[in-house]
Amino acid sequence: MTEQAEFLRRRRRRNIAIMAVLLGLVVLFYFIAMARMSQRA
Amino acid sequence: MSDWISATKGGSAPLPFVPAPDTAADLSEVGDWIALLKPRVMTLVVFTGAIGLLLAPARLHPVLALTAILCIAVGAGAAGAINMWYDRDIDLVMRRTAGRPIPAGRIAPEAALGFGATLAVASVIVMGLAINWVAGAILALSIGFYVFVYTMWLKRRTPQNIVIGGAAGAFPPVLGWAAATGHVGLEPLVLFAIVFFWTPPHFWSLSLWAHGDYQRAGVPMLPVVAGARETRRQILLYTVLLAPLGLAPWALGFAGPGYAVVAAALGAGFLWHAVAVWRDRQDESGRSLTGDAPAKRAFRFSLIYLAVLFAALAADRLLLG
Repeated sequence: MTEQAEFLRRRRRRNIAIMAVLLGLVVLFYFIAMARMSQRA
Repeated sequence: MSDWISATKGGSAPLPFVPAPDTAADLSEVGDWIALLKPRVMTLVVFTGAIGLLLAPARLHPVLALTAILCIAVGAGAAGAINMWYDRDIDLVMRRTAGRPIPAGRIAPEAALGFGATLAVASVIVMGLAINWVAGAILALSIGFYVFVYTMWLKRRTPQNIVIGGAAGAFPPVLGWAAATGHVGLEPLVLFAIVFFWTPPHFWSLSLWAHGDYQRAGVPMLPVVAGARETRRQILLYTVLLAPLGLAPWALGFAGPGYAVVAAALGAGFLWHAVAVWRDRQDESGRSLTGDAPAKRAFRFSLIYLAVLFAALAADRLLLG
């Protein structure tokens, strides 16, 4: 594998990981909001 | 910079790949960023934090309980990342840590610091906003204690680094309790004390056979400064204090007799190992003639001790209410 291909592979994997974390946070914050609203109700 | 410009401006011939200067640290894999969070330490932190949450008299919504544990884990990981940033010079000379992402050159130090600081702030804010600000404040305190008191102040200055710095690792059960109840009572402080007194015999058992690394790095661990004989004596001393402390949850009435039996057996087992370490065959300088076999067994048992003791507390609460 060339140096460029290796660099791009690492960057792609990091970007996918960041996207997964951000999506996870969106889902988590949604459920936190639901849980807090259900506690207040 | 000129290499990058000439590579990107390009002519008709294919140009060699030259990453931009600001991507020079991009040798990292996703796993390197996870390694910065010290996942093995995180496991213990999550476990003891979850026990604190479980023992608390108040019940949290499962999503909020999961969020609290996530914040505790991320906060501990953030402190670990900042610790790796600060200790990158000594990590480089210690065999055990030379392969970590920063000394191995896969992650730039400033990137690791930014990563750790961001996660630290985020974990405290989420804990405060989603759970309560008592837990948020204790999380901030525990991260600050680990980074500023242990890593930056004590670790390179005193052989008592593990004793006082061990308090940072004792916060998670208090955090779990505070997340559920919004305050701190006697029970989580007892759990804090158990982890606090468990830490010195646990780490000194390890440092008895790993002290060469610490010596090379100039870290004043007890075996380096006071010698192996004194370290063995201190291991025994702290274990003598820890064994009865393990019974405190039963004595104070927040655990049943089943827990007391387990705690007594574990305490006796740890004492037996500490005595074996103390009586290890050694030369005149105190160096072990058995390859520190008793210390290695004591280290392994210390891990079992804490895991089973806290699991017994959880089982006691789940089974007996």
